Formats: sequence, structure tokens, C-alpha cells
Amino acid sequence: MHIPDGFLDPKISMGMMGAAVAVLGYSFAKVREAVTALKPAEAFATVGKGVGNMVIGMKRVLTGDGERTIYKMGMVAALVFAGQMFNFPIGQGTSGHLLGGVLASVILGPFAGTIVIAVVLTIQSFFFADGGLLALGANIVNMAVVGTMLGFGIYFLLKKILPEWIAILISAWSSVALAALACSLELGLSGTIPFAVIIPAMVRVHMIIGVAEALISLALINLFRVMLKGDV
Amino acid sequence: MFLITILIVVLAAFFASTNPDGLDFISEKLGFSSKGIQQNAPLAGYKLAFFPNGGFSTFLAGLAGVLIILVLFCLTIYLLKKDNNKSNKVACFLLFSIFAAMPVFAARPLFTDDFSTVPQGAHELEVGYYSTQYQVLLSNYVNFIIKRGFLPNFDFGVEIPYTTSYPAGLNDIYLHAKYRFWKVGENEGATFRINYKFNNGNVLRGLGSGDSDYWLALIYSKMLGRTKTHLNVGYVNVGIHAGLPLDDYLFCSFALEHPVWGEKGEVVAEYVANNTIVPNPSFIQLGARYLIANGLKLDAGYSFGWNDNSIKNNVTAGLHWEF
Repeated sequence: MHIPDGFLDPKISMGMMGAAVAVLGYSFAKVREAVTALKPAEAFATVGKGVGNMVIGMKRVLTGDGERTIYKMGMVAALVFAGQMFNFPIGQGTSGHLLGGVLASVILGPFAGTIVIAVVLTIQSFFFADGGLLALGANIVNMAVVGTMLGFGIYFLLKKILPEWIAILISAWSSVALAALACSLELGLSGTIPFAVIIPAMVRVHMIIGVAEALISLALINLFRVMLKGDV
Repeated sequence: MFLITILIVVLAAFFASTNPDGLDFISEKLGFSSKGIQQNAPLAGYKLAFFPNGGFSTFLAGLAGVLIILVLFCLTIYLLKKDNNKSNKVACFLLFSIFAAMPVFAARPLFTDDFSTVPQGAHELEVGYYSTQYQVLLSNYVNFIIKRGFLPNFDFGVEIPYTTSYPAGLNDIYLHAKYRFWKVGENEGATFRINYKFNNGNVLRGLGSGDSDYWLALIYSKMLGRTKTHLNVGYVNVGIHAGLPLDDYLFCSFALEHPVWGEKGEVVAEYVANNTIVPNPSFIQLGARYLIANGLKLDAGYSFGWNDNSIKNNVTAGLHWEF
């Protein structure tokens, strides 16, 4: 579902880039808070007649848990990248691939998950020409914001009333459908194609892809949990 | 977990469906796939350029992708552990990696920006000398800005201020990216600008602000008669200063440029305001530019504030060169 350059109007691309930067900035702040702790900062200084190391303020220091979180983010990013490479056939001469939003956010939480998906999309765009550079903002909004944060929201709410595996299945499926809807809205707003044509077409195909997404997400989340026993 | 990732890459390389994915398929079926622009990239299409056929090429490209990602995250940890004050910079490096391949301040001496960007492939160099009286302190510095137009409507540049008075040294460096998203004729349009200020200045020596900030601004320009007008509205996300978070603030500025001396010169005026307490709530600047050779402009400006916390007097002179 990577939009190439040229499909979107520059205004839409730029607006989406702004939205993506805003959400990523907030997510960075949240993750930074989670992986670091405030500690007093010392510096060599002179005050009056005293000379020596003095506390000049507080600084943020990476914690041991924080380091493990970042390693885990790297592993999930690599996993999602590999998963997005694997296109599975869904009939009618078309195929689909994992988006990984719910997978990442269930393992890492919504903010780290969003960053992970955004990093994967950025690397795909820079190194693999998968998704346009100007359309990167839109792709981040579709897959890293709608697909990940909204997907996690659905998972979070459903988890309260349903067994977790059902919550994962439903949220993963709906994250793909919602990402496809967001993508269609952007294409429609750009005037590339009328809403009435693109929305049913996109959502229908991605409702099928979503089934595979749901099953793969559930399998990989469980695998991740078994591999890193109790750590997730 | 790494082995499972590699396993999936192998599966993707040798057994994946070659049919187009959902969006590609629909764009072909509905006939708008021709609008797409194929861009160039080192590993375009998940293939190695020099070895483009077969699943093995895709496998190597996928392996490279996995390694790039793992190195990126390990590098992040390394930088965070090496120097804890760099966590801001790392976050910003990741954020800027998103902007690096796509899109400050307008032509000197103005602080207010105009909507235009440096033409694609062209460069703009600005060198300015400033002498500023802030309360009772007088400081002098030289400022270099180099920008390049990467797209018809996008430029990117770096600003390097160097303080020449005591304490002399490198000040906080800025990165500037500008994207013009709307244009009507030659003199009306709107631009989005993002700046990032590093905290590389040595605060203990009195250089730099000690925090890294983001600047976001919307710029609108319009011609009124023969006078060019520019309106900027922006938001500054102030970083952590020595452990103390400072308040973010908004700024707003308005500038006029009027041609004189047979279009060879311009007189400029601006009013700048922001809602922070320090260091410069608002000031007015008056100045002039003169075209001395093709693309080369000489300029000078004087600005003053009237608030206790604002800049008392500031004199600047400089050069602006487009090439």
C-alpha cells in the first residue's frame, strides 16, 4: 500500500508530511521519556572559591530497560521490513503484504510502534524506491499513524471485553481496512480518482489482505513472546 | 528472532507472489498507475543494480535492508550511551532522515522569510555581520547560510553563526528546509518551513542556548501595488535547557519590501513579535538592499526593541549571493 510520487497532490503530500512530523515528534518525546531517566548533571566549574564537579542541572540518561526497548524496536523493525517484502497472493492477479502496525504496537506500545513503522517506511522509500519520497508523509499517516495507533486503540478497547487473541485478530484486520480507507481518501482529495470509485475498490481488496495480516500478526506476536519469555 | 527475520526474507525472495500489491493492482485497473513517478534508489525494486535477476538478488537486497535497520537502531543506542545529551540529536537525526532527501530566513537583512525557495540546482549564500546590544552586553558575530534548491519548490540549507566577540567560538548551528506548496504568479504564494537548531554551542563558555529547538513556520507572501509583503506565523519547540524544560513559544512577523533606485535597490521594514519572555519579545527592523552585480546584493539593517528584555540595538551588514 506504498503510494508512489505522482499519485498525490503536493498540497496533500505536504499536509500529510506535517501531520506525520507532528505525530512522530510527539511519539519521539513519549519514547524518549520511556527509555531515559532524569539524573543530575555535573560539570567542572568554579563558584566563588570552590572548584570541582558541581551539579549544573538535570540530564536525561538511557536506562537499562530503555536500551532493551530500543533493541526490541530494532528487532521488530527488521521483522516488519521482512514481512512487508513477502507478498502473498490473494487471487484475481493481485497480492498483499503485511503492514505490521498492530504487530509492532502490541509488542512495543503505540508510540514506539509508530516510530518503528515510520522508520521501515522511510528506509523502504530511500533505499528501495518503495513509496515516494514526497508521498512518505502520506504513507506514514496511513500505515504508521492510522494502521498502528488506531489499530492499537481498537486492540486496547477490545482486549477489555474479549480474549486477547481475538482482539489482535480484529484490530489487525481493521487496521488494514482503515489504512486502505485513509489511502483512498488521500487519493480522492488529490483529485486523482473519484471517491466513489477508489474507496470501494481499495477497501474491498484490503479486507481480504487484512485476513492474512490478522493471522500473521497473531502468529508473530506469539512467536515473539515465546522467544523473549515474559519480556513482552 | 534474527533468524526468523532472515527466514522471512528468504521466503520473500524465493517464494513471494510477483503479482502487484493491492494499491498497484487498483491503480492499474482504474487507469491511474501512469501518474506514478518511478524514483531512483540504490536497491530499487528490492534488487541489486549490478545483479538484477533472480530471487538471490532480492534475498541480498532484503538482507541489506534488515542490516540497515539493525545498524540504525544499534547506532541510536550507541549514541545515547556515548553522550547522554545527544538523545535529542538522535531523535532529530531520525526525524530529519525523513526530510533529508526532500525540502530560514529570507534574504538578509530581514528576519521575516519570503515564500520563494532557491531554484532547483541553484545555490544561495548569505554572509552577514551582526553587532547586537542586548541589555548592557554587546556581542558581535558572523553568520553564514548556504542553501541549495533540490526541487523546483524545495530547498535545504545550513546556517552557521560564529561569535567573534568574547567569548569567541562556534554558535548553535541551524538546518533549514523550505517547501513551497502554493504559488500564484511570481509574487504570491505560501511556503512551509522547518528549522532545527542544534545545541552544539558551548554553554559553559556562554555560546549557544544549550537546547535544541524545532522551528515550524507558515509563510505567506503577496504583492500590494509595487510593495512585496510577507507574513510569517510560527511555532518554536524549545528543547531541554540544562535539565529545565523551557516554554515553547509562538512567533509572528510582518515585512515590507519596496523597490527604489530604479529597481536596483529595495528598502525593507519588518515587525517581529513572539510570546516568550526572553530574549527578544519584539523588535522593528529597517534596512536596504542594493544589487551590485548579477545575483549579488549588498545589504544593511538596523533593528531596535523597546522592552527591558528585548534587543536594544542591532546593526547588521552583509552580502547575499545567488549562483
